[in-house]
Amino acid sequence: MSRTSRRDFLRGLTLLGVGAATGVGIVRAGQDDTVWQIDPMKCIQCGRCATHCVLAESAVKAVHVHLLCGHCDLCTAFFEPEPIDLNTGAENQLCPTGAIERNFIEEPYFSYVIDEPLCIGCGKCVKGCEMFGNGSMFLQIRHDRCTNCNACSIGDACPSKAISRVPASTPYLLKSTH
Amino acid sequence: MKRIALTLLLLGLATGAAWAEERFPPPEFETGYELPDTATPPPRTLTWERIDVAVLVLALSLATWLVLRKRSRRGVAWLGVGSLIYFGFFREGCVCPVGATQNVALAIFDSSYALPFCVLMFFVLPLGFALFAGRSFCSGVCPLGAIQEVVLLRPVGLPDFLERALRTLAYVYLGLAVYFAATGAAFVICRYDPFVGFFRLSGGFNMLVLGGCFLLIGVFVGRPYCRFLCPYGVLLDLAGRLSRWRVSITPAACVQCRLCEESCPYGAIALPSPRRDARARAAASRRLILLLVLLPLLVSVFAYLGSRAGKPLSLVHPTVDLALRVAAERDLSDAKASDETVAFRKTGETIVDLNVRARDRQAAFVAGGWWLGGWIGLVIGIMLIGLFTLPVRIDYEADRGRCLSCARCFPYCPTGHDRRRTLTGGAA
Amino acid sequence: MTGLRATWRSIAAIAVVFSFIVLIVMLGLYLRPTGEDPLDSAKWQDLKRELSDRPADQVVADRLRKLDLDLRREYFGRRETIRLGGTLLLIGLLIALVAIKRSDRRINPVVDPLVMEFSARAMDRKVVRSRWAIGITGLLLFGGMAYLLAAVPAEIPVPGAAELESPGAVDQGPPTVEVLARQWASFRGYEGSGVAPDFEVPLTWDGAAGENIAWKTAIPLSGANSPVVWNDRVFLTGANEKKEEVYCIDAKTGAMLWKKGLIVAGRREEFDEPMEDTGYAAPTAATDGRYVFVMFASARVAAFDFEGRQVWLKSFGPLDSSYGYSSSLSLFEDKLLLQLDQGYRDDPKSRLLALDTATGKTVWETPRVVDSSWASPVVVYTESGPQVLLSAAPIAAAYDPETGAELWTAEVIEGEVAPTPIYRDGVAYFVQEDVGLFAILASGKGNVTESHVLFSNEDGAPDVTSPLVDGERIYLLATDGYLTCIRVADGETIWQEDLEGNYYASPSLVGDVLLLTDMDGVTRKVAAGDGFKLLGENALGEKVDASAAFGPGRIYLRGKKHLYAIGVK
Repeated sequence: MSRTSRRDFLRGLTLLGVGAATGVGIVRAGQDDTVWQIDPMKCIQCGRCATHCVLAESAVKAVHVHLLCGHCDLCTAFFEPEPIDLNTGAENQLCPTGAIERNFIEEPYFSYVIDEPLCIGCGKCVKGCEMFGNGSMFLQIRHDRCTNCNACSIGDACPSKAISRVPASTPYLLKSTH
Repeated sequence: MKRIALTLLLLGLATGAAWAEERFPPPEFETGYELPDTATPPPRTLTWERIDVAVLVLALSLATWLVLRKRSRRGVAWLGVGSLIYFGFFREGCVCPVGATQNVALAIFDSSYALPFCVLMFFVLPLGFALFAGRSFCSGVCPLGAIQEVVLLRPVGLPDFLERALRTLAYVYLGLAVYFAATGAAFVICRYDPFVGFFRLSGGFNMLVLGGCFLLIGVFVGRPYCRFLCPYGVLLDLAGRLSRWRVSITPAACVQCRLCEESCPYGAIALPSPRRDARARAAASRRLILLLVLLPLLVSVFAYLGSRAGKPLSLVHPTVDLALRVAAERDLSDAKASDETVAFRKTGETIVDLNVRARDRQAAFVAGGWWLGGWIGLVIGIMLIGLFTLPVRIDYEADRGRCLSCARCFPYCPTGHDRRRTLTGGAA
Repeated sequence: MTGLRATWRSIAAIAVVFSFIVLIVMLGLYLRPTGEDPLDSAKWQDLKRELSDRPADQVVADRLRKLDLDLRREYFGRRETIRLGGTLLLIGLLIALVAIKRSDRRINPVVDPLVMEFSARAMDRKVVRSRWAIGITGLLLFGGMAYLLAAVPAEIPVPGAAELESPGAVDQGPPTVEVLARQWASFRGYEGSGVAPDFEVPLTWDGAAGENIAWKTAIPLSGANSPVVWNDRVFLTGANEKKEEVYCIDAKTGAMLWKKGLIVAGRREEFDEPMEDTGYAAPTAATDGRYVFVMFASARVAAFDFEGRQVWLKSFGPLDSSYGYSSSLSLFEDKLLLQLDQGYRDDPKSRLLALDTATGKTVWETPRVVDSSWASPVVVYTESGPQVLLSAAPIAAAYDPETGAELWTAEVIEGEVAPTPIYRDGVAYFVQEDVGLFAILASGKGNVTESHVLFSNEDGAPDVTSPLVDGERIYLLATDGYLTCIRVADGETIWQEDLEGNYYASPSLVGDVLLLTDMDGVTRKVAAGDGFKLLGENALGEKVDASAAFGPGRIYLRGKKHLYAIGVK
């Protein structure tokens, strides 16, 4: 057998293999594309989302589902554990970047809105809300920022393995009421 | 497998049932205050992924045409820059065929993992092209290659022995990458991708420093990542060896002028082999037979060692790591609770169940270790055998496997029209 | 031409210097020690502390707010600077690249044709060097792998392996209470509680898929009795109308170590055929580490040593028990306790017996004025001494296992009883389907019906399965799957939940997890706690009537045809 025909034979064989594998792959391929997302029920707010994203400004931000919020006066997501006063003074705020807006609605309720460009995804507010409040604030990967890396580097570092791929058609895992 | 599928299913259920606690019932407002919506910006990549595949096919075809037909160094170089801008800076380097290797490996070993179509295409298409027309992907399409190509300013040839020794690393890296991906531990290629930080103009300090080092070395040593580490390059190398058409340095007949000898910064030009007498050839074939007999022994030794190294290597897997952390925390009085163990306790899983899962993963690592070790032994063995055989080559040739289709050697050849054009171009 | 090249060269130099400066600045920014967020600043925290001490001090508050603002500005500013720096660096390097390429002379490398590099000898030299290089690379890889396996510990313990590997020596005297507490020597383990000792056992399994099934061994004859476990030996019995057999199985491998039929001398006595669900081998065996004691519906009791030799045999039949006799054996020191409650309270046939474990001779016998009962006697260790608890209409009763003397009785039981009593922290709990749950302080003497009954609760009382107490809550599992949780402190029902499946097997507790195995072999894991929480389900793939047993690294579930050991192989 000459070199050329041997090469042709091997190529044919390889092609057959690659083709078959591709066929199987296409048949089995996911119907839906997938994107990374955090399961808020698994998240323990370790703070690594703020530091481990490949983007300098993390793709993870805190989100607030207002429907679940108790609109408390003393919001443990907004205030330090022992606030000096219940006002928006910097000394009372928990958020390191001042990314939560607190506004009076009506007695005794306040709204808490996250200013996303300021949020760094550290999860301090989430921890506060989770421990003492309704858990209406939680961390989510924001898909306007996420580059959908093949391997999520926050996911690699996540201690509770809360980051997994979800169908792109339902790209957020928002908490809801019963 | 079944368990993974079940976990995924449970995950799916859990996503639908992520309930919040209601310690403070949400109020009903009397002033007609309307709750703001929670913004959910949609993912932006979906249609782009289809476009990426189309661009990939286009770029591959163009690169192949430019190298094999047009024989245009300039064309390939600019195509590379274009790909660098599109796949690198614009599409931010993900997903790439190099990384896709891991997805394919995972999909083969974990039937519950659905391989996305475009990832499959990214893996298969360059290989398919390489089977017919060599590694045109490397020169004209790959952004990782292109960024190294543009910084190559002062090429220095590496001594043959160093080049060969370093090249084995890529085979080992491929083995490790497949090993870790197949066992579900990690995508190491992505984790240690040196250039993706540049594409995004943002990245961890270590990643940027690593990338910077590669680029700095790349000023002198042509494409260090591609030649000595790239796992996909190994696959393309193997496919390229079987290619139907090939890059030829000369468009006509080689006149053995030696002008191209130093033109390849990637050490991919194979020199004509010296003549050997019959006695030397006979001795060589006896050695070859002996080595072929020894090869299975080498492979077995490495395979055994690999299986034994499986347990230590399984520490890369988060479940194994967690099991050992939890065990350490329970058994050692001075161990501190880590985020991982805190999260574990929150799940309510028992330590025994965790240990059982971890042992299951470890078993996969040990089983895979046989293959990993065997692969490393095979690579070393075949490379050694290659060095004990006498090549029969008459002309200067681009090595089918190693040639990156960059077309740098074309202008050096005095035969045909390439040389003339370069000369006139240089005089203008 | 030259001028143009020189210009490019200058541009290149400028661009390189510029990029270098940007790079140094960026490195400085990256390497400067900063916290993860603005508030990690030590200064901020000092001020905060100062303000906490003097909350009214407006000056400190203003200073803190100013600092806060500055810190945030700096944080975001730094981020912007890094982004800008990155772009500048990219542009600088790009210009440098283009300029250097432009200023390069296009000179092909010159090859000296006189140096004949491709002579055979030169070629051979190169090849030899390459061989060495590859060889050394191979050695390095070999060394790396060897180092990994030698220096990186990664052993995950096999759950329960250590205990299984070193089974305690078979004791010579009767086992102490401490030893018994770590064994599953009789029905529902120590004190008949159903609470597993802290063995390392997996709580997830799948019988059909073999997941976490250490082994599965076919049991020739069926029986409703549960396995008992002594270190690495598992005992159970099986019987039909013709044969009565004892099985000894190796806990580690599942191998049947021996299988013995009862050697019955003389004529076999006739007895009523038991109901199908009860079968011929309902009583669970008991073992004291020297002998294993077995009993069958025929009322034959026998002792075997650990090698499978029949030591003695006694017959107490035929028994007058509708449905079939089902009380399990119980042990106290060197006495084997059996409850022979039969017929009705006006027949003087019912009695509690203690046999000498070595000979089978009756040590004491206490008559009981009760109806038939299917509950088992259970030895519990109270502060005032050991007691045998027995449940049969009309009394909940306790006896001294040493002498057989009646310690106390409470007239609270009516009807037919199958659930075995349990005991915890000074209180005995008796259950009967119609009358419900009674909590009785075990410190009384004589008739304590009026004095020592702490509470009763009629919710969800089971007719077959025995109750379980975790210290704070009692769990009752009715045959139809109704699970009731009652508070120990006040006897109030905390929650009730209707589970799927029907249950003959009594509940067990492992750590904080209740294991409830239904007749289809599905084990439901429920969190022991003040709220109902289903943690998961494990299917065995075979029908199950017997209660679970526990041993080092193993959960034993007896299916209709097989004994399953759940654990790591």
